Amino acid sequence: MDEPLLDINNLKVYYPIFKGSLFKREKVNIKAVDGIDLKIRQGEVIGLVGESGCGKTTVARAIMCLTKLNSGSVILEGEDLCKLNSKELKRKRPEFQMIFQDPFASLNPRMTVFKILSEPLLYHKLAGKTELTGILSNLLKEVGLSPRDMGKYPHEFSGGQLQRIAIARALSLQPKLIIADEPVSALDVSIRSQILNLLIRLIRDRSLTMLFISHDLSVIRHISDRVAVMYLGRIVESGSNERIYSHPAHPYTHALLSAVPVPDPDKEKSRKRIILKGEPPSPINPPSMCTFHPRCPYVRDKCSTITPEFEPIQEGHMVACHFPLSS
Amino acid sequence: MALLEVRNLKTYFYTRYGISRAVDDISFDIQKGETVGIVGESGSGKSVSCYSLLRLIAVPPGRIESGRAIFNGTDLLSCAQRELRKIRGNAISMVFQDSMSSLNPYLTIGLQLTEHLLLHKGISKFEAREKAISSLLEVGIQDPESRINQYPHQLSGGMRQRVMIAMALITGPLLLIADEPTTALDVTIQAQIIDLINDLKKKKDMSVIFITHDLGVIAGISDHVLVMYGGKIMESGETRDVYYKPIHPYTSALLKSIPSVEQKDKELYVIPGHPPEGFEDIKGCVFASRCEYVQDKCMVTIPELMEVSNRHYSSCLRIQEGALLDVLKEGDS
Amino acid sequence: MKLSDINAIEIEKGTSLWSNSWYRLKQNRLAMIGLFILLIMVIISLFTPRIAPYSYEVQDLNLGATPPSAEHWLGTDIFGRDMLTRIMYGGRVSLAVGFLATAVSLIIGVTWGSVSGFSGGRVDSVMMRIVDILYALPFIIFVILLMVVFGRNLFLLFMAIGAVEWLTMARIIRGQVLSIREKEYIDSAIMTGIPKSRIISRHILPNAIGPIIVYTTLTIPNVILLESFLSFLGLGIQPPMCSWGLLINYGVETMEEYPWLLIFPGVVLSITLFSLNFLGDGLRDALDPKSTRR
Repeated sequence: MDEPLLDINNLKVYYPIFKGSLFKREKVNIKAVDGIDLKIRQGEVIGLVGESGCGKTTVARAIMCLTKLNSGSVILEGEDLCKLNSKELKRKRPEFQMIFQDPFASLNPRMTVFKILSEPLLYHKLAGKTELTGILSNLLKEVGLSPRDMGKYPHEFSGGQLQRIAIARALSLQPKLIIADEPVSALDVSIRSQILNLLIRLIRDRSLTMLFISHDLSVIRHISDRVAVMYLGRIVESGSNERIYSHPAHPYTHALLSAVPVPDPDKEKSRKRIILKGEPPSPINPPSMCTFHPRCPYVRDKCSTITPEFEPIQEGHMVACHFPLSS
Repeated sequence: MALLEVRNLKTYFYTRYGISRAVDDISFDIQKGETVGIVGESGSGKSVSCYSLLRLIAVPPGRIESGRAIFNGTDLLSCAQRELRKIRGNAISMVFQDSMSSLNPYLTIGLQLTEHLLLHKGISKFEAREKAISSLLEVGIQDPESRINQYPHQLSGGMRQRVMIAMALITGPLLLIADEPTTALDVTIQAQIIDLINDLKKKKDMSVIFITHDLGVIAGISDHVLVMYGGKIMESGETRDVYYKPIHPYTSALLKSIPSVEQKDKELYVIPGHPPEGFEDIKGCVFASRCEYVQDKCMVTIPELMEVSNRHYSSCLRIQEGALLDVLKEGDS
Repeated sequence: MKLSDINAIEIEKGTSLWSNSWYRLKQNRLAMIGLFILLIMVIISLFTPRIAPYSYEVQDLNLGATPPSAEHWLGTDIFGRDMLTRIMYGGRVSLAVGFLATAVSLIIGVTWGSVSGFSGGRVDSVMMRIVDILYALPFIIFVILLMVVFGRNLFLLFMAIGAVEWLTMARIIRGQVLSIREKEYIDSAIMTGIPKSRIISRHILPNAIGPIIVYTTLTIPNVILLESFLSFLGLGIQPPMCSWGLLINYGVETMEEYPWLLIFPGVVLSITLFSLNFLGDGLRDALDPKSTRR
């Protein structure tokens, strides 16, 4: 299939804030997402990686129509999600679901697992009351939990188990696209592998398409087919998993990879890290033109005067940089 | 003679849900100039053990049940409050995870920095201010003369963490305890801070205890590693030994289960179950219920931490018998 | 999956947060004593017409005010009316006003606050400004106006008090809704496509109930005192009907000669208010989500 499942074009999400005093107020836009293009093909897992403030969670919320976008389109199988009216949107909702970061906050503490999981099904009339127990049993087993736990409440489970329940709920409506926003970041290290393996198995078994968001480069490396790197509201580089990790072209990606600590003492002590100077700038006052130029170790004059275009340097490998690093 | 000798430290919390054995009989040494990394997940007791050293535990519901912590001749756990106050912030300093809540939002950076000095060193305000400015420079903060009058909310996360480090170092401590100082920071800022700590510890010939759950960070910063789980030390040894020749199933399992940036594995090693919450009354080895190599005796006998080879300790019964050594080495790539 | 398999699964029953809270409440002695006393008061009030020894209005001027005795356990007032009976009937009125006016304020306040909090933006601003304006109006003038226009009426009394108390309730609910709205399980409900009204009733309110219950329990004493105040001004209950407030006011007038006329209603009112407060405090601690988590 050539048509992508999800086609995002020039997505922009701005938050207005008012600066100044009582009598001299000016409206300033925080450009949380400043023009994103992303195409996800059926069956792909795209990893969206970036540090805090880069806008990756805002992208997720915009796709899910939880946040209004300022301009751009989010087309899922031919329909632009954000231009649908509420009835059409309700019909379309089962096709795209999300898994959130904090497992303790993503489930209603006053509802039993049974109620939590059956609510979407009953609402969309995908199951009758009598079929529920059977369907939910299968769902729980699929995520590695026992059907006997259906009557329990969220506070009776551990973080990893709660995340499994959240995954089960996301799957219950048989979605085509799942957005996972930092699903393992809040979990203990020894449990992360359980959940990651589960997600990989589910993606394979159900032919899911997934947008996996994380700041953790090792997790992204493990799970994605293609990777997009975000910085200050823009995608600065995208390409295949292999390509990005072995031959990063954007200086930021390069620095990011160099900063990740690896559990190998000899390597750690001998490596030469690229230490970026300064702090990530705030989205209220982004630097001009290439937003990365103040921190870039390879900055040249052109970088502060002309904004780089997001262009391919190789088949399937795109970068927004005037002087991309060569392999 | 070690700078700090901890013996049989036990800290329990008495709550309405039961007794939480947060730190359950641990012993370790810190040598002068050494960086010791304490790695563990939530509930492992890594933070509580260091807070116990400085008696920063809330006494109900917590209680330091027993143990000695000999620092330069003084037992921190049993000395008088007056003695302890002279050491806290002076000879032993601490840096915490959340810089926003560790700094007083109503005081300028300058005031908070000099507070330490004026308290412990009895120098004049002017001298203290000069020292504060130079310490800010030392931690890499540009333009310290103007920063010194700013408030915490005016600085970014990375900068606040630098200020925290400056505050900890300004009195010239012998030992710095850093509790997850980089966990809340972005990875590029984390790299800056780790670099900074490495630099400073060499310059000042300081010992550092670095607490984190991130095995990658520990690998880069520590000379010696303590692996904690469920309130006990599972393994301790020199960093290279622990990472390349782990002698505890937990360490080995942990190392195998984290995804690697270098290659895309087919399937990650999974440790079944989940870490203990603290209120369970576990007989035998804390890790037994999740251990791949468990045997009957592991469920009933509480293992002791014993030296297996040069400065390399393990609390695994089977290892102590001589079994599993090759298996664990092989499993770890 | 075979049908027989479905029947064969025994689903383990979980312990809800409610049972957790109830358990914690039970351990709070003061709160349980408060609850017990309250229940007794309510039961007595409900059965008062049947069990009261005398009538509350029949006077016996020959008798006059007498201290406690075998026939009149709590004595009689200056018109010879049995105090025990009058206190029981007074309880009926005070508790009825207390509960009903609170119920009115609850319904209005919860609806207003949750719609305002969940809608956010302009709607929220406008709705809260209305609350602010109403807050500034002097309550007494408002009630007097109502009474003057519609005449003195017990029902109207409920409505008037309820109409004032709902303002604070609305603010509290709105605060709760604002914080719950940010939680991710609300996002989950939105992303499932569930409409706003259902989200408020199914997801937000059940989680806001803690402070709602607590504040309600603490509003009832306020209402009872408010009623006493109104009756004192002559705007509330008309004699020969009585409420605890009225009884206390009469008692104050004859405090020196006939102290029991003040002491008994005063003690009963105080005990009730204490009970409500202890219960309210106990509920607040028991329902506090921070202490509930494992």
